[in-house]
Amino acid sequence: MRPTTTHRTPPLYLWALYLWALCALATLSLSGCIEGTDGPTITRARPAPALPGAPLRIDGVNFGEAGHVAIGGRPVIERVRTPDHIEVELPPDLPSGPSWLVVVADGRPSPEFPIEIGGDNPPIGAGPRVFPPGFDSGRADAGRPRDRGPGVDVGRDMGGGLVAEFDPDPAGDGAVRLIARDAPAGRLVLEVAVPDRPIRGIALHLAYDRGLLRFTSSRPAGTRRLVASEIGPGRLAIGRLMDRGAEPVVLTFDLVGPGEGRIDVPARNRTARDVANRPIPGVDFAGGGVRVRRR
Amino acid sequence: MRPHVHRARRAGMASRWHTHGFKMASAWHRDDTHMPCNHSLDGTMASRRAASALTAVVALLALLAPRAFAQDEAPGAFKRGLLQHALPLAVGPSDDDARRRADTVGVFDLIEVGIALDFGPDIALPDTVTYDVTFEAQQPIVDGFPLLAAFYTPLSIRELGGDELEFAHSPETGELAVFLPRRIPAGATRTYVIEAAFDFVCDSPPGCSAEQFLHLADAAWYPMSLEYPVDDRFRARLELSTPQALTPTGTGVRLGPERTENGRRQATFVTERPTILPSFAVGPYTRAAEGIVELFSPSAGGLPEAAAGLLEIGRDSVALYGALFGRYPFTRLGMAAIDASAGAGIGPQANILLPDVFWQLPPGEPEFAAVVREVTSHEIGHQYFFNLLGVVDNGEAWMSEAFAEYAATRMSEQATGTRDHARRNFWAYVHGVAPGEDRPLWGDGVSAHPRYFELVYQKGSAALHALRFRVGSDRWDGAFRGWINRFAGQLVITEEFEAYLIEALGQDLTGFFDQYIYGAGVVDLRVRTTRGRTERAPVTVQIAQQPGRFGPFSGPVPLRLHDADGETRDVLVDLGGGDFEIDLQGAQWIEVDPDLTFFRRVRSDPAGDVNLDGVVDGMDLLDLQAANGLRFVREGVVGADYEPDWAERFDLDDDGAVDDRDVDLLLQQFGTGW
Repeated sequence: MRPTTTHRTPPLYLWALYLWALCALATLSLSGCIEGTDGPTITRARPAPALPGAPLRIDGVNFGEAGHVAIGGRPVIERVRTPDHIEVELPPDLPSGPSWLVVVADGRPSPEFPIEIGGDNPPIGAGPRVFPPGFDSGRADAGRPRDRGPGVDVGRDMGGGLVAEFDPDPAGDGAVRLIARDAPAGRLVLEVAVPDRPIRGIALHLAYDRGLLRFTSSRPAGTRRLVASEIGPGRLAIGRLMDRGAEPVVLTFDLVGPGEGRIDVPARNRTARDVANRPIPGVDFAGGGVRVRRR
Repeated sequence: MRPHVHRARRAGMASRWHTHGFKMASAWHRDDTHMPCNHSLDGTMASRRAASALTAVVALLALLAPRAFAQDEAPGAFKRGLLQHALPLAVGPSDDDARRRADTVGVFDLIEVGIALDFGPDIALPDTVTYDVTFEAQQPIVDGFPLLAAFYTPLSIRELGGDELEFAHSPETGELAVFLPRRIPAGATRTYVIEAAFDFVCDSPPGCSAEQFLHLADAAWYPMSLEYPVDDRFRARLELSTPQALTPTGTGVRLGPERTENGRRQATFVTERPTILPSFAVGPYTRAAEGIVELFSPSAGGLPEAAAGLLEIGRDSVALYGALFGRYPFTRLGMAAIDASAGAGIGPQANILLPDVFWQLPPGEPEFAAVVREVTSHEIGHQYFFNLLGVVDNGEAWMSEAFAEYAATRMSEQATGTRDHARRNFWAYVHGVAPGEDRPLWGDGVSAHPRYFELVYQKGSAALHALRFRVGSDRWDGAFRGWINRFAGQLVITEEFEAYLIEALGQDLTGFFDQYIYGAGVVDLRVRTTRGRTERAPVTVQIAQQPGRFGPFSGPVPLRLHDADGETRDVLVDLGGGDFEIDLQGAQWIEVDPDLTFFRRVRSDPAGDVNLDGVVDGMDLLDLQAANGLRFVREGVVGADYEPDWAERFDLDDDGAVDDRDVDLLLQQFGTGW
């Protein structure tokens, strides 16, 4: 059992909030700040608290014409976007409690905007391990694993006292998706589900917090036509030729420690190929949120 | 052998000529007042030139020995046998004169050579032939003039409408000296009629064959300029008379309709542009025409499907080349079957000759059909490159064969939608020519080289494609067409081609020409990509090269950036400029020089990073498995040939094959670079 730490630094999102607040204050007295000059900035979100499954209107500036919105690191479906407001539809299973909102416009993220999610669901997890999303939540490289702050020992738990919940990103049947399978305590088991269409092969990386997960094995085991290997902490590389009748790839992770994060599929490291080994356009890759908590 | 000396009263002069060789022959036809003897060619040199003319020019379109459709021992051998003409234009050491672009060289300029042949009922060359030779004196001609007479023995020579003339003939050197009773002033035109015994022995395919069909497409079986047999081009006129059972077809366009007189077919063919290669074919043909394409098919055994296919190739080639190179230069394209024993296609003006097996191909066999298309379109390409644009000597032979082969690859590109034909040619040179065998395309180094085909045809056409993709296909096509238009009807040389392109494209191509036309060599590149892990981190590309024979490569190297959705963008990096950073702008992986724009082999470092995205991962596995089974030489129905899709980056262990050993190496390196 990993010892409880008592000297945690503030979670990253709180730092971000603090910086945003500084920025907001500076805006009052100065001509602006770096974050607020031309990137998107959220000024208000309605209703407050936000309700799972209900629309949410986000007001602000510099929203541009394209981008996306994430709440608690999870992409949400956009209905309307104008330069100064966005309407989104919140997932019905959004956990209640404090969360944060980010608008990405033209590749630039807004400062995180704190919101409260209404409802009865209690926040999960023993600790406030919430990690900010990648800048575009899977459309770009998730980068190096985002560890908890300094002083946190992440490598010793690995025990059966942990359980994980996987919350897949919304994705249609045409996407390569991760589906949680039943798993014993201390493990997360994910199936890599592929669209029901002719695909010769897929290749992808999974980027995740190494403080939460560690890859242990794949099923089927590696061959010349299937390889899944953790090429670095928090980085799993998979290559799979989709032979006729091939069984799905199932990945098993050890749970390292409690917290909340994401499993992303970085855009530059994912592909689905047709029979001629050409990229199949339009095949999306969906990751998801993962929460590890003690039983 | 002594020269045959006719008309004894000139015996003394003939003897002196025999004793002193060509010095005499070259001096006496000039007016000493205007052209002193000491300007004449050295006697030894001249004799060597004449002997060379006899032995080399006669094989103008020499091809390989007959080949059946069988597995060949060397990659591409089957097609090579069908294509290789080895234009032996060597008439002596190259010199400045030989590379002149005008065909009005020497003391006189041949204007027209007429040839009258009466064929017997058998497939055999006639015993006699009648020539008429018309030339314009470029200088005053006093005593006489020489001609090349390698395969005919003059029996009588007279000026048209005049008396018989004295002459001396040396079968040994192929020299014919015609003595003049009076001076010919500069600028005057004269025609001489030569009755001759026809000495050509039809035993040296592919220039001649006489089995089911009779064809003759060699040089020097008719009067040519002795000093400038290649440069001094002329209009050819063939008057062919055959028994009813045989149909004649000759170089050029038919002059009037075919006639029947006294139970014999009579047809006259005249070239529409100057040539040095009058030729003909006679046989039991079935004639079919479509537009300007006239097909002479074997009467027996010719598959209608094959005939239709050949007509289609002719029609499509004329259309495509018209768009690419300018209007087809002649008003006729004859396509005649010749014996399979010729083993080759030959591309004389307006009447190409093709092995009769092209009419006997198994239907539905794509490899055979591809060979037929490639060879036929190559010969049609010669209508531009050799016939419209003449070649001055062996050192410039690539401007005929490489360019005709380039035309054929463009035809293949249209027909198949792929660049496989061009890519095969690229790999044939890169893999088929050992460094020690390598030679520049330009110059005499390739003459009679055992890798002549790979060097001249295949490297040459690949070099033109390399230029095409370096400057952009549309710009290239425009400049190339402009060059053809500018030099149509003339002799062309490499230097002028280069200069024209540089001016037309506004692009300095001297480095390319220096390295690959006037130089040789294949470089080995080893490419390492290092990529930061943040979203917009640029990649750093390092390219190390092991220089080829000519030294290190310098110049722009195209990199193709592949996006996730299959879209691509190209960027150029300057090799030799050290490491460089590239903003991939979301691209996933990099391909080095995908269009084969210079002669190189490219490998990744580490070898498993086949897609150069900086990490050995599952994408590399997909790419490598997609290439698994590739051999750089593959066996096919018509023999072994180079694999167009070959790329060294898949061949991790460098054994010429992509197989499970390469996959295993990749898996060993999996994750490297992360």
